[in-house]
Amino acid sequence: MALISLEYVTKVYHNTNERVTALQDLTLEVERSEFLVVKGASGSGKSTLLLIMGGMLRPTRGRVIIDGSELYRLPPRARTAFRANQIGFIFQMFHLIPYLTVRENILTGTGALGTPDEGMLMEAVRAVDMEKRIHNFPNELSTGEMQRAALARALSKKPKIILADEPTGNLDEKNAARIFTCLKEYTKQGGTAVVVTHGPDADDYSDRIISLD
Amino acid sequence: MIFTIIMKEILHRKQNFFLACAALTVGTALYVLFYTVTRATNTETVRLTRDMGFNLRIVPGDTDINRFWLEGFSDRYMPESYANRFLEHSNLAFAHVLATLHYRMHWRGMDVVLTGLSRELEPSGAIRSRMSFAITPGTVYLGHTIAAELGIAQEDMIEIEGRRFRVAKVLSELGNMDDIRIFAALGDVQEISGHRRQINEITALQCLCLDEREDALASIREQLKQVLPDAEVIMNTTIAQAREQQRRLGDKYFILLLPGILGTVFIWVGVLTMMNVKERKSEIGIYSALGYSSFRIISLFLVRGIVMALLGAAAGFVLGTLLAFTWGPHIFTVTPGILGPDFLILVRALIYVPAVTILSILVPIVTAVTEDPARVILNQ
Repeated sequence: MALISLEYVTKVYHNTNERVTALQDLTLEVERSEFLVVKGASGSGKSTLLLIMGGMLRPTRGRVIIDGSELYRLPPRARTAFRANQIGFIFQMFHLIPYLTVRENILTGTGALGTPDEGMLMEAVRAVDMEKRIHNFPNELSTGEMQRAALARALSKKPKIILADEPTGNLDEKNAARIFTCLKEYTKQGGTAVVVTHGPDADDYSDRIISLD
Repeated sequence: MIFTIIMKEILHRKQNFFLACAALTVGTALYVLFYTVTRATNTETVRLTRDMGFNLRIVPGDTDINRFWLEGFSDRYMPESYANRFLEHSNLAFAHVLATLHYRMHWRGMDVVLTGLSRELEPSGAIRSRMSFAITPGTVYLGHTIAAELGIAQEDMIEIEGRRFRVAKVLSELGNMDDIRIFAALGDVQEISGHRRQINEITALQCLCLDEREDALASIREQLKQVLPDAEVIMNTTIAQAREQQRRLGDKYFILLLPGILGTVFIWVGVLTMMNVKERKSEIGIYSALGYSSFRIISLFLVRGIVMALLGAAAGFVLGTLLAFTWGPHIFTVTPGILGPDFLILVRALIYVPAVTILSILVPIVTAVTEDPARVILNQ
């Protein structure tokens, strides 16, 4: 059975004067340990898809089943717990908390589970090669380091799924390669990665590429 | 972890935190200042009006009031036990109840009034500083005119109607009838005048805690009729009203000021919190994406607000007390000695300021946290 299963998922945004359909009857399955790359032009619904998979955005129609549970049938509190336990998010803009050090930012990842875990923190830090920068604040890091810190935050709680939205959109080729290498390693160890991107950088690392265009 | 996040955020956005703290400090300080000074003003008023004398005089019912005013006291008598009955059965709020016996006599070529004073009686055993003299039997306090005219000094021995008394005190010039009075213990005057266990007046200080529209004298007379049906009450309305009006004035300050202070601080802190929340929208989205529950995200803001309120309350208490000490005596003409820190106000401030702060910040926080985090992230 697929780890992630989307059945006829549609998402319509109701703006002031218009209805915008971001996704239309999308059916998709993602297997365990798969590195899936989702491509599409701007406005094709890539980010919307990730947020729906992450339990943050209820689809207008359709079902989202993750590891056998229908995500949007869960009560809000259970969906929040699911996110804390199973999902790691990475965003193009990193979204690190500006007043926390790298170490503290990573701890916020496991902090959602209750007590922050120092052991998991160091494991994640080593995976992204950020041992020397853990006491720095985000504004003291390069963009590549910021994204690696965000990746460490996602990895630190050992989620089943990492959802990455244009994770290398602001990075040079070398730093992009480091991020994808880390994600590939994560999938080799049993994790599942869904990466949204509009460039070809992730192609070499992916198990499958789909397009929303 | 939550506490680390809160403390680091406070240090990161010092300006917002400081401005909100300042609002709470100023609000608390103004409250403490006016409360302290109003309390001091009331104490001062009580002291001043007390020094003006008793405002309630109860005399035998058959007293000729015209003669009473001409003589300065009643020439009729009532049992001394009336003072205790008045004390035990009256529902009125009063203090310093004193049974007195006035007796006019010709002494060493002078017309004087011999006034016997009981000890002061207080309702429910309350302990208060005395308004009248505490005179030991066998001693007298001598009015200024008598002492001056007859050349009597403190500690001299004098004789009245065959009884010897020690002059315990010669009073300074008061400019009223007390200058020709000899004050003695009630029992001694009852013996000299031949009116054993009798008095001709009960005096008291009446606290008028009535509504402005109520007729205070009529109310007291009505109540007194039930306790001492054969007595008449005379009230010095000038003293009583001054006392009551001053008390009401203090209350009015508060009624006008408090909503203004609270409202301003409420809006100020609310607006600053709204700004803080707006600035942290993406942060809220991230916490939500990381799997923090709404309750935990709200607690990040609420604990910050409580820390802010506790600091503001404590700083406001110190500032308000210092302002009361510094400016109180100049602006409100109160004696510096009666202005003191009231730690009960500090306790109240540490409870009420966080409560008001939570009310003020709750709406912007809950609004932001319940906003769709996905929309916030997508908008980024």
